[in-house]
Amino acid sequence: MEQRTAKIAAPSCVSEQRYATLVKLSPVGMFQTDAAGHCLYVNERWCQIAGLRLEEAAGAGWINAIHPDDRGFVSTEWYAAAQTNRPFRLGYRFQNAAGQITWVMGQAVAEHGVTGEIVSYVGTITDISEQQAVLSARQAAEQGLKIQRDFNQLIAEITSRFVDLSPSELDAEIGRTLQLIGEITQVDTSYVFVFDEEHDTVRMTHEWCKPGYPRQIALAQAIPQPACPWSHALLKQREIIYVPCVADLPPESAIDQATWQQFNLTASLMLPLIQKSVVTGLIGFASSSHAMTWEEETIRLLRVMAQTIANAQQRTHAEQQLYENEERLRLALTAANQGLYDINLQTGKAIVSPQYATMLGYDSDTFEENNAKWIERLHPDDREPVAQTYRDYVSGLLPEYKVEFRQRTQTGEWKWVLSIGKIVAWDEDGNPLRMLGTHTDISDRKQLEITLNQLNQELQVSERKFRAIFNNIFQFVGLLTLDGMLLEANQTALDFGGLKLEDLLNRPFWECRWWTISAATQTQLQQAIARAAQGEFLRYEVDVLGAGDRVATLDFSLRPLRDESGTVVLLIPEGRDITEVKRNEVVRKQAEKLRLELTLLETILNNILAGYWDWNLQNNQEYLSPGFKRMFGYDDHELPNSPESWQHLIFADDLPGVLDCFDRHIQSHGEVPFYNEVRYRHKDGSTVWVICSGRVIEWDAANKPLRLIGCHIDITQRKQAEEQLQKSDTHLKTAQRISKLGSWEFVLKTGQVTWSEETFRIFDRNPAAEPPSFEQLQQLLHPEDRDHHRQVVQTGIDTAASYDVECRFYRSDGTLGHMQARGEPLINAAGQVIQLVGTVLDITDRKQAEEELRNLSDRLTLALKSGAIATWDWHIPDNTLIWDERMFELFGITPDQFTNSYDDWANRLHPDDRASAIAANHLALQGKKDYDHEFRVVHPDGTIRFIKAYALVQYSEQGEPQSMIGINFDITERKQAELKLLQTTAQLEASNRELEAFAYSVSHDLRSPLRAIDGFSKALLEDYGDQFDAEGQDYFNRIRHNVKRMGMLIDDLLRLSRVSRSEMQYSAVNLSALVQEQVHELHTSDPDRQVTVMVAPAVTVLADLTLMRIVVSNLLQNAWKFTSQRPHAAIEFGVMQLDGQPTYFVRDDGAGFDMAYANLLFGVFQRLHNTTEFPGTGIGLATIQRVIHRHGGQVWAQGAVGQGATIYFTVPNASIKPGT
Amino acid sequence: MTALRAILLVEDNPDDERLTLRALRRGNIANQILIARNGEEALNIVFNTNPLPSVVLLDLKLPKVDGLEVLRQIRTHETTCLLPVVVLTSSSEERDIIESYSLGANSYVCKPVDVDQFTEAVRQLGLYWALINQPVPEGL
Repeated sequence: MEQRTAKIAAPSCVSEQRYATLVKLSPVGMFQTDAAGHCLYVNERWCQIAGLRLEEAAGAGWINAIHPDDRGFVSTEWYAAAQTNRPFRLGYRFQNAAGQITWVMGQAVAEHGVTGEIVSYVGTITDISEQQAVLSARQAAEQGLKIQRDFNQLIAEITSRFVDLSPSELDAEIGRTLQLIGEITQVDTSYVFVFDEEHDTVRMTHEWCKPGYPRQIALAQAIPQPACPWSHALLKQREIIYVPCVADLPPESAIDQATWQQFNLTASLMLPLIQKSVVTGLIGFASSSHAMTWEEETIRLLRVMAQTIANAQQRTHAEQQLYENEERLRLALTAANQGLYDINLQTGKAIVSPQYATMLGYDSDTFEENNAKWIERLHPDDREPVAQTYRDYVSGLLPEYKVEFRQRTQTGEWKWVLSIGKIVAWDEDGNPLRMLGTHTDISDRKQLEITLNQLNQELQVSERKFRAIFNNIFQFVGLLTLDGMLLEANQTALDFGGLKLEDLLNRPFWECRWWTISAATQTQLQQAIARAAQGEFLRYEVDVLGAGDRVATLDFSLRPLRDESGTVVLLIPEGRDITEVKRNEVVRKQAEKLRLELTLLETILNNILAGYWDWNLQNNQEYLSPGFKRMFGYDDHELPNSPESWQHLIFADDLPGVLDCFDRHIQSHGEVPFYNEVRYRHKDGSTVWVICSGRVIEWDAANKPLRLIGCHIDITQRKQAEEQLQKSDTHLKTAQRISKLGSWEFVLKTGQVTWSEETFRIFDRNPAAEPPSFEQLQQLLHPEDRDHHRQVVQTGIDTAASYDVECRFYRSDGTLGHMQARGEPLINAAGQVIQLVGTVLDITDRKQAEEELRNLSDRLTLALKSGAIATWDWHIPDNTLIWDERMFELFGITPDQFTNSYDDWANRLHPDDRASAIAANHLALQGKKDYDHEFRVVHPDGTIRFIKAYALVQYSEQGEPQSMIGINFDITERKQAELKLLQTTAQLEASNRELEAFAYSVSHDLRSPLRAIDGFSKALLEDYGDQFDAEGQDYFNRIRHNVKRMGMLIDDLLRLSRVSRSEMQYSAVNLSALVQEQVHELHTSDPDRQVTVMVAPAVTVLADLTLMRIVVSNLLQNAWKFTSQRPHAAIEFGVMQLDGQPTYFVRDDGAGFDMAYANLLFGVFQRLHNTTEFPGTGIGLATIQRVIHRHGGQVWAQGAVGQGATIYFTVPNASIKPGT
Repeated sequence: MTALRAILLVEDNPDDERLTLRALRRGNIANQILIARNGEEALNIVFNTNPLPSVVLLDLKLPKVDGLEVLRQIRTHETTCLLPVVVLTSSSEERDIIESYSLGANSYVCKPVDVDQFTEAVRQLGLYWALINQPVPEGL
């Protein structure tokens, strides 16, 4: 089990890594240098070819890898290419530290910065010295690269589709992605799960299955999270779960294992979906039949893709939430019966919301509103007050436009409407241009008010009735000043006396007719008045004179009336005719009737769920109606009738406002209405909103209120609706914050800028501070975006058109963000823009994703360009081809020579290759074979080029091939090299065969004559020796000596030839042991020699044993031979480090040689000594050199005449592949 | 003691033939020496001689039918498949050695250039194969 735990790297870092992986994968060496040619980067292949590590190649170090002889012309060509701005292309040699030479083809192109300056060079080197080996390796690598490139391209496409996806397309796009990735990675199924944290479950939301594979989405709807505890925990830590084989999982994952096996999974890859740092789900790929392997690079790309999907989900989620909030707000507005209007005050034309129309009974689809129609619908009585309110608002007298009026509905009824509006646009002369506002249906409230008014009127009516009773009761009542002047007398009294009030007013009471019955009666009254004026209540019986001299006996009383301070201010005379007792019965009945009327009124109030109260301010007694008490959940007897009752129930916060309103009502003598909307505490603890309104109905002479009467109306429901509305508004704000959408206003004339809270948040600035002016805002933008932003805004203002601009900005912490600003101009009647309103959307995340994509795309493009790779796109439904520039170069034509048709392409192929190329296309379209093809193209001038093509087929959702996207590149040189290589190989093989035949001949045919010469010479000596003198015999010996020497020469030459021809068999060779073996042999064959031999122990190399034995024996025999003239010789075998490489040597203290001839030593038949001095054929060192060279090593000699010789050699292990 | 069987020498080079015969003679080998000067003659002799020779001294580089082919035919033929064959050649090529043994050669001797060594080698061969070695029973 391999586990990938790569953390999410910064986006740029990820694409860097991806790029690094791309170049690492390529079969050629890649390098990047800065503009001055200093190496920034080389890939592994480059290092391999050059024999340098990345850090050794850095800067100017790379030049060391180039063969010393080639450095000159490489840099000449490099600078020439840079000067003329053409691609660098040159064949040259690399030489590594061991001296190994590699021929390469180097190519490079310049990478340009934004202003066109060269920022770097990107290039490749291709090993062309071992074409055959490279070819097969390269084909394999190209195959891998192609798959990776196809995959990269697919991921790039998928990712780009998610960037600006509309929410409605998200599900389809995820489904499509699962299929594409599933098919290209050859899994059985792919899916998306979401985590339901509330229910602790996971749920499959999307699924793709290979045809024939059972769908499982229905089974995977509420899988408990504990079903996969191991993988779930890892995913939650944002780790990728890579399970090549479920059966191989560690023991701690046993539960997961069981769950997966239940779903028949044998291998799986799961990537977390991360939204705002929270893992919300996973995307997975699984196989049920075979273990799977994914490249690390593939997983990394999939991770990027998963993040893109998560981002899209997140965005969609936010948009949906925003939409839902909007919907909720809209519903709330509907529920509150509010309509919106937006009126152009110059033209009178208005735009209104559907509620506005339906409120008035019109069909919102056809309803059109303008000022004239509105006035026409206005109740005639309301026209002037409404106009006055509007004028006062425009002139600034009123802080707001808030007015209530009646509108005629479509059915001709009157509907009360509350209109609240605000002018949002003014022209330069201060004339209003545009007003926005709401209409609220307040008919219900008005109905209540009307009912209340009616009640008040009814109360007034009953007051009149009291008056009538006052006047009509059969009892004499009046009012006197303290000095006895008559102020008032009731009709009963006047009628009794046959008098008129006006005749009596301000005359002394005792002089009135009633009292003229006698002087004594008048005097008695005069005295009584004086006493009463002192505060005394007087009562006595007296006879008075009536009309027609009728006399009545009165039960008379005189009562002083006091003010608040207790001072007597008036006197009330009262007399009851006790002669007319029957009349009293009638009076009682009438009082009874009055009480009945009052009870009836109270019942009416109770029935409309209102309560009323009657507050006597003089004695602070207050009557609270049962309805009043019931409104707060109390029975009549539960609350005492006193002001304390309601003062106790009202919210403490609302009481001061009520008292304040009361004061103003009093001070204005009833002008300011006593009207409050206040909260009371219900018995059950809930809040009851009421309208508390009333008026003083009795004042004393000093304008002091005596009695306040009023009414309570329950408006809790309305208030709740209002609160709901406010809550919805908060939701909208929250939604804006979630969607990172801020809003702003900009008044051109004053330069005043208003920012919403979210706008401050986006810019990371303190909301309590002033928003920046336009110029200050410009400074917050990225310097490169300032001009563009200013220009777009200015154009918006000049053309009165809305605009949409994206730019970068600095937050207060200095970090850079991206925003999308939209502006909407508000225009006056003259068509001038006076204000801009708009939104600002934080798109930093999206921009970063786009940037990352662009980087990836740029790098791919550059890589394609560097590799001279052309791309094409065959659109299958209409059979057309789209080519990039390099395609035209490959076909040797200009774009206008190409008709973009498929046939045109086919006709440009070599006739012999046409049929197979077309067949390959069809196989790829049918999905039977990956498109990987080679063909020749014929240029118009007859040039023939070899092309290599790879392609990827894209299918529609119905599985129909839609397009084929592919690449082409020129492989002519490679093809030619292949051809040349084949020829060379054939030639080499032929000459090898000749050499072998030669060696065979030598072996057979040269020896036989020698043997004959030797044999017959000996036969002559043996058979006829006595016939030759000493000189003759010496001649025969000379013949035989030369024959022997010739035999040795032949043997050595054959050995040399064998060294060159034999197959290399690498193994660990212990040189020390070989040396010891050889020394032992030499000592044995020459036991008289005094030779000290020093051998370094355990020196081992990776080499061919037979060949190394030849080297060692030759070296030791030489040393042995050349020290033969010394009585005490010394021979040493050892190893030393030279230039970081183990270097072996055999040193002797023998005859030595002149260094002037050192270069001759290793030639065949080259000898520096006479054979009489030191015997030998002169082939030994040549053989040694051949062996060492075949091992990739070096051999050289050092010495001086008479001072011994040292032969050095290297056997570079690094250049050897063990076991081959 | 049975009669000495012949030695068949297959040699195309007359000098080598003479030197070999001389060496055998000086080594006191009394067996009859049959001479074949090419592969064809060698096969004729082998397939028509009864009893079979005690040993065939076979050169490899021969006109008409070469030595390895002669060896192959001897080994494939029923009457001669067990006949001792010693390859006596100038070649020290590894592939000849391997090929000879693969085809069933009983021994492989490289002719030394030095005539003393050559004489000694031939003498020892004759001694061993014609006198010491027990031949395949007759009529088998």
